Amino acid sequence: MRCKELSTPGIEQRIAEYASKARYMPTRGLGSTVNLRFDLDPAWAGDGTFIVISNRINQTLYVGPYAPEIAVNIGPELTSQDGYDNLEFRLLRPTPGLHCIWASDPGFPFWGNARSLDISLMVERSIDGNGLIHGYHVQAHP
Amino acid sequence: MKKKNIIFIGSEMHYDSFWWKMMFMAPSVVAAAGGTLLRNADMTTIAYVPEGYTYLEKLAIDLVAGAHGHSVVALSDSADIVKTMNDLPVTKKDNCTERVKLQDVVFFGHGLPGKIALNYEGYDGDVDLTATNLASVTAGAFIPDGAIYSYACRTGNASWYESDWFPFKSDSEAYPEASLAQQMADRFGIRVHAFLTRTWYGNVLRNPPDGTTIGSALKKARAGHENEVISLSSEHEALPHPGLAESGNGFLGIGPRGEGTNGFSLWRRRGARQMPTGHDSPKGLSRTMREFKPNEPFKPNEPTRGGGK
Repeated sequence: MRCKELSTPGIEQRIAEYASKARYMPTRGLGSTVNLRFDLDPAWAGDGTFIVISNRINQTLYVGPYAPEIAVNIGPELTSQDGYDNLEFRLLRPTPGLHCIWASDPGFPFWGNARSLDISLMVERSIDGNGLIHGYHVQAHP
Repeated sequence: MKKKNIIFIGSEMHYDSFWWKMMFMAPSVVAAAGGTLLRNADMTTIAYVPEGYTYLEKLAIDLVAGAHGHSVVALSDSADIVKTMNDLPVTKKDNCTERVKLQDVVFFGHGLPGKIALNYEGYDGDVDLTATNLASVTAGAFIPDGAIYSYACRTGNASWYESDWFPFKSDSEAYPEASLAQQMADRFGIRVHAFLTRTWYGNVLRNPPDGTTIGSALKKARAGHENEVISLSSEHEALPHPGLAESGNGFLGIGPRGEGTNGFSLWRRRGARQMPTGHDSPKGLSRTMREFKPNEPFKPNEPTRGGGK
């Protein structure tokens, strides 16, 4: 986790920018959903806005209050290439103004039919044997 | 016709580290000084993302720009990349029209398949080059033998797949023909040089075996000089950067605080000692910089070609 203190107006401006970005909608409905489960303390997340970004499609998947479980409807643009993606998670808390980021270098096969994933958002980032940074850990339940 | 070079420099917000902070600045300074990567041009623009750099860190590009008469542009969003590449003024001299075209463009920044992310993990917003905004750059912006060099990770790779246990069996599995590098080559009708793998900047600022000596020199010299530039050797210095890499524990000897490198960034006085190279991930791909040639002859009046992955 990396965080930066920002003014409340600064945080609100960034939230507005993310809210105005294109939100992912599957091009062809597969009728498929992936459940992402997170382990942040809801009390710590407070009234912050939680954002899930897919670097693969360069779009936000979720912008809203922090929730321990988020369901993402997926289409072929995510499930191809074995469903690999590189996600980025952000939490923007207006009071006190705080912008936190969790990102990882390696990709992960997030997207598959009825997949369920536990995502641990790490306080301290780790570096693997390839020298790549892990800001979150993912465990899949087939 | 006048020729213009552009050097794009990303922010380094990902690593939060003494060792890596200046990894994009160092090769940029060498490229800007001329004589190596880029051919001589009539004008050169250094376009950089200022987020996360201190005054002293930015001074590296101001000094090289001043010494060589280059212009410096700060980038704040993705549109600024397009604006910088489209800044090709037509001038009049002795009643003759003189055009400016791009010759060599180089990117030093983070990247992902399909995206050069010049403000990756930044707090101030994205500064990305993707297929989408590439379509807004003038198709005829380059001279016929123009070139782009991307030292961002995976510009030549259109696949998100990676596995240590089931590596790629060949480069073709990374769909280089659909990569951002190929899209740039096709759009501008020029050669593009890019990696299929991640890019390794670990040899750019220092010879890795020298790390222990460099770290020890800073730890020894910093007491009472926390806000000063500290000379570490004839080759290296440490630039004060309050707030950088403030993690670990000095007492327990863990992390940057334990190492004594917190609050500073490593700088090599002459810039990079070598250009970045290919990393060994994703596994199974060639680590050499690949040349992407345009698929079809360049047509100046061709309409905008967008395209996805």
